[in-house]
Amino acid sequence: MTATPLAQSGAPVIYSVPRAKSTKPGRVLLYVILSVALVYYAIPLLLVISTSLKTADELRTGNIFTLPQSLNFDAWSKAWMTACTGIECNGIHGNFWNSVEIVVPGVIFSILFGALTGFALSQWQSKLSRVILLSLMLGAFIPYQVILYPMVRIFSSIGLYGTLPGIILIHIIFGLPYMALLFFNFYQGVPPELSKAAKMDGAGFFTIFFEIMLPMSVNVLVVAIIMQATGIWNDFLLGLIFAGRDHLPITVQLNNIVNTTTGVKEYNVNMAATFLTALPPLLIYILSGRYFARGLAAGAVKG
Amino acid sequence: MFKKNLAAKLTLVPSAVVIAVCFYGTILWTLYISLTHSTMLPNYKFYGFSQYATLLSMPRWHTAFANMLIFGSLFIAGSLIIGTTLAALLDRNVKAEGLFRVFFLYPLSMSFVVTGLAWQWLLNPTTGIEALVRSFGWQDFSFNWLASPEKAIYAVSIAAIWQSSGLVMAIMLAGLRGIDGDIWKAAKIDGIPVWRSYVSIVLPMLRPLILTCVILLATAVVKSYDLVVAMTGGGPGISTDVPGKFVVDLLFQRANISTAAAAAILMLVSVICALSPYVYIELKRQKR
Amino acid sequence: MTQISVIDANKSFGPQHILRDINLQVASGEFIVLLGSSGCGKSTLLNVIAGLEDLDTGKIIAGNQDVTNVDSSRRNMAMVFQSYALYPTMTVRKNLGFGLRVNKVAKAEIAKRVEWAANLLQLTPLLDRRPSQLSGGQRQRVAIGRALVRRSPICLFDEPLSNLDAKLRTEMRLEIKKLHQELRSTIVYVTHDQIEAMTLATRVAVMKAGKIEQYATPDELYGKPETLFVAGFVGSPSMNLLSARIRIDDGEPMAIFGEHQLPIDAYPFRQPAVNGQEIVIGFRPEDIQLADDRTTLPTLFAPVTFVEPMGADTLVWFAVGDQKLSVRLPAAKARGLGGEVRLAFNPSIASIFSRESEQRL
Repeated sequence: MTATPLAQSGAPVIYSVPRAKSTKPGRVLLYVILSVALVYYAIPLLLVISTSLKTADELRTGNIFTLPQSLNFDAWSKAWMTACTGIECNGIHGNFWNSVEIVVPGVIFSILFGALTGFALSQWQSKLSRVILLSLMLGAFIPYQVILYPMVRIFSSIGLYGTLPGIILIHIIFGLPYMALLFFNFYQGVPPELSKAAKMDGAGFFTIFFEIMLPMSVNVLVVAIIMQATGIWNDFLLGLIFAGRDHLPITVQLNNIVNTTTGVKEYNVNMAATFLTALPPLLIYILSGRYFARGLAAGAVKG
Repeated sequence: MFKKNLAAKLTLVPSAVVIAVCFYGTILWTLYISLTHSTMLPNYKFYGFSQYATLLSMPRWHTAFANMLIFGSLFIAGSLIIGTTLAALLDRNVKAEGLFRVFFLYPLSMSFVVTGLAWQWLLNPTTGIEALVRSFGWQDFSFNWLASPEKAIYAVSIAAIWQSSGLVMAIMLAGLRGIDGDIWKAAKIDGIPVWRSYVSIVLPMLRPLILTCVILLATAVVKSYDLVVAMTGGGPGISTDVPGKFVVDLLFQRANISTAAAAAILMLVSVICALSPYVYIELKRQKR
Repeated sequence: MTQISVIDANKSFGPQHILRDINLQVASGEFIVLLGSSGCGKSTLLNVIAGLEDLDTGKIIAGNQDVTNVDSSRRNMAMVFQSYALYPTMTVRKNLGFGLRVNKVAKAEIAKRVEWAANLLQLTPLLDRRPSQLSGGQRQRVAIGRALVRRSPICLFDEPLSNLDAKLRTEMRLEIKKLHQELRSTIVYVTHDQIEAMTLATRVAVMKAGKIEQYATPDELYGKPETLFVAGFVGSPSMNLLSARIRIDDGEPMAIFGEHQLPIDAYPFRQPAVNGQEIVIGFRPEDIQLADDRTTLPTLFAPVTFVEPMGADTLVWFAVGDQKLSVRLPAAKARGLGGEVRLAFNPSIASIFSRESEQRL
C-alpha cells in the first residue's frame, strides 16, 4: 500500500494514508463472527426461557430447539408455588423473598461499611493505613473454603449461625474488601483541599463524609449497589452454609429443586425456576447500562 | 498526637478487627487444624503434617487437583482467546456495538448455579444437543460429555468460558480503547495488515491487562464451587470434583475437618502461586 | 493584643526540613503576608497555623490559647484556598452557610450573614447556582465569602489570586484590601507575588529555605532590606547589586569595584567598616541620578550599554567594570543618552551587605 504525497511543491510533504476501504469482505466476516458469537451467548438463556414455556407434552415430542407453541406460564407458577425438592413442595417463592431479605440489608450495610472504611483510609494515610489497605486487597483473593469452618464456629458460638442477621453479616464481611477498595479509590481522586476547607469550617469526620463526600459519590454508589446486589443475590456457597433452613436463598433452593428431585424430571419447571432466579440480576444488568461494565473494570483495577 | 484524625482511626477499628479475625485469623486457625487430627470437631492436639500425607494419597484429591489444573488451563486460555478476540472485533468501529456488548456481558450477571443448570440442560443427552443432532439423522452423534467421566470436566470448562469470557472482553476492550490512535496509523503506513498489528504490536502493549485477566480468572478457578455443584454435582462419580467442592464436602458431609483444612491450605497456596507473578512485577516496578 | 504567635516552630517532611525555628508574632488587625518563592515554606507555615499540618517542635498560640494540639476544626479560623475548594454539590448559598450550620448557628443568623456576605462580594444573583456554573472570579469571591461569613478573628489566605488572570487579580487585590480595612480581621496571606505583598500588607515576612529573612513593613523592606535575598526579591525593577571591596583611605571607607571607586562614608554602618571586606552594595534604580555640576554626591563615569523604554520612565543600563547597573530616569531625561555618563549615588540610602554572610552591614 503506497502513501500519496498531497503537496507537490517544496512545502513539507503531508502523507495521507488511504482510508483502508476496510475490505468489504473483511467487514462482512467481522459481522458474521460477531453474530455467531452473539448467538452462542444468547442460546443458553433463550433455551432456558423457551423450555420454561413448554408443556410436558411439548417437551417429550419436540427437541430442545423447537419453539413452544404458546406462551404457557404454567411451569412458571408451578416453579413458584409447588415445585419439589427432596423435602418439601413449596416452589421457590419463599426463597425468592429470602434472597430479597438478604440482599436489601446486605447491600445497604456492606456499602455503608465499605464507604466509611474507604473514606477513613483516604483521610488517614500512614504506614498502618497502608497495611490495612494491602491486607484488604489480598483478602479479596482468599478462597472461602479456607475461611468457612472457623467462621462457622465463630458464628455458632455467638448464636448467629443459620440466622438471617448471620448471613447478612457474612455478606457484609466478605463484601468489605471490594467495597472498601472501590470507595477508597474514588475518595483518593477527590481534591484534598475539599476536606481541608470543610475542616476549617469546623466539620468533623462524619459531617464531611455524610454532607460532602457522599453526595459527590453518586456514580460510585450506583456501581457499588449493582455489584453488591448482583453478587449477593447470585451467591450460593455462603447462603448454603450460613443462612439456615428458614432463610435459604433462591440459588440454593434452585439447585435443590433441579438436582435432587427423585422421580420424573419436569424440565419446564426446572427451567422456569432457573429463569426466575436469574431474572432480578438480569434486570439490574439491563437497566444499569455502563455502570455494570464500570463495576467489572473496578474489580480488575485492584492496586 | 494520635488524637489527630481520631474519628478516622476509630472508624477503621471494626474493619481492622474484621480483617484480622475473619480473613487472616481464620487462615491461621485452618492452618493449625490442618496440623491436627480432627474429624467432626476440632481436636487441638498437634499432629504434624500427616494430614497432608493423607490428603496427597487420596485418589479423590488427585482427581480434584488435576481437574483444577485441566479446567483452569482450558478456562483461562479459552476465556482469554475468546474475550480478546471479541474485544478486538468490537474495537473495529462496529455498528450496534452496544447490542453486541449487552449479549456478551449478560452471562456475568448470572449466578454460576444458573449457568450450570442451563448448560446441564443444553448438554442433556435425551433432550439436548445430542438429541437434536440425532433427530437430523446423524444417529451416531454423541455429545454426552456430562455422562462421561473423562469428558465431563471439559463440559464444565465450556460453561465457565461461556460465562466469563465477557469479563475478559470488557477489560480488554477498555484497554484497546486506550491505545494511541497513532500506533495504528504507523502500522498501516508500514503496510502491516490489521490482524498482524493486533498480534504483534497492540496485544504485547496490553500485557499488564492480560496479566490482570489471568490473575482474576486463575483465582476464580481455585475458588470454583457453585458451577460444579450445579452442573454435575461433582460427577459422574467424582470425575468433576474440584478442590473447592472437596473441602466443603469433607467439612460438612464427611466430618473430616483436618484433611479438609489441609486441602484448603493447599488451595490457598495455589492462589498465592497464581498471584505471585503479579506481586513480583509490582515489586519490580516499585523498585525502579 | 497579639493575635497569633508562632514560637520556635520546626517541621520536616521526611528528610526535608521545611520550617526552621520560625518565630512570628501577629498583632490583632494586622495584614501579614508570607512572601517567598516556591519551596520556601510559606504554605507549610500557613497550614501549620491553620492546624492542617502538625509541628514537629514549637507552639502556636492564637488569641491567647495554645492551639498547637487543637484540631483545625476547633481553631475558629477561616481559610481561603488557592483552588477555592467549594463544595460541589451545594449551591452558593449552602456553601456560604455550611460552616455556620456545622457550628450550630441559628438559621436566622445564618441567613442574615449569608445575605451580608453576598452583598459585600456581589454574589446575590448567584446564590442559587452551583460552583460548576460559576466563573473563576466568581468562585474566588464565594471562597472569600465563605471565610468572611464565619466572622473568625483570624483569616488565612493561601495564594488565592494565583489562578486568576492579571486583570481580575488586580481587581480582587483591591477588594481584599478594602475588606480588610472594613472588617479589621487579622489576616495571614501567602503569596509569591511581591506586588501583592507590598500593596496589601501591614507587615511582610520574607521567607527563604524555611527561615524568615525579614519581617517588617513594606517600606522598611523596600528601603532597608536586611539580607541580600530580600534586597533582590523586593522591588521591580530589582535593586542593583554590585560586588565590591572595602578599602579604608585615611579612615574613610571606599567601595572599590574594578577601576571604579566610591566613597561610602555617608552609609550608616552598624559596625565600623573593615578594610578588605568583600561586600555587595545595592542601589535602587530610581536612587541613582544623572550627575550635574552642582552635585555633592559621590559620582562615577560609566558607559551606556542599553536603553529600555518603559513608558513614563526609561531604564538605562550601564556597564560598571564587568557588572551591570540600571538607572531609572524620566523618559525625557533619558532621550538621546549615550556614551559615557556621569552618575550620582547616595550611599546614605543604599544597602550594603557582607558578601559572605549576606547580612546588612
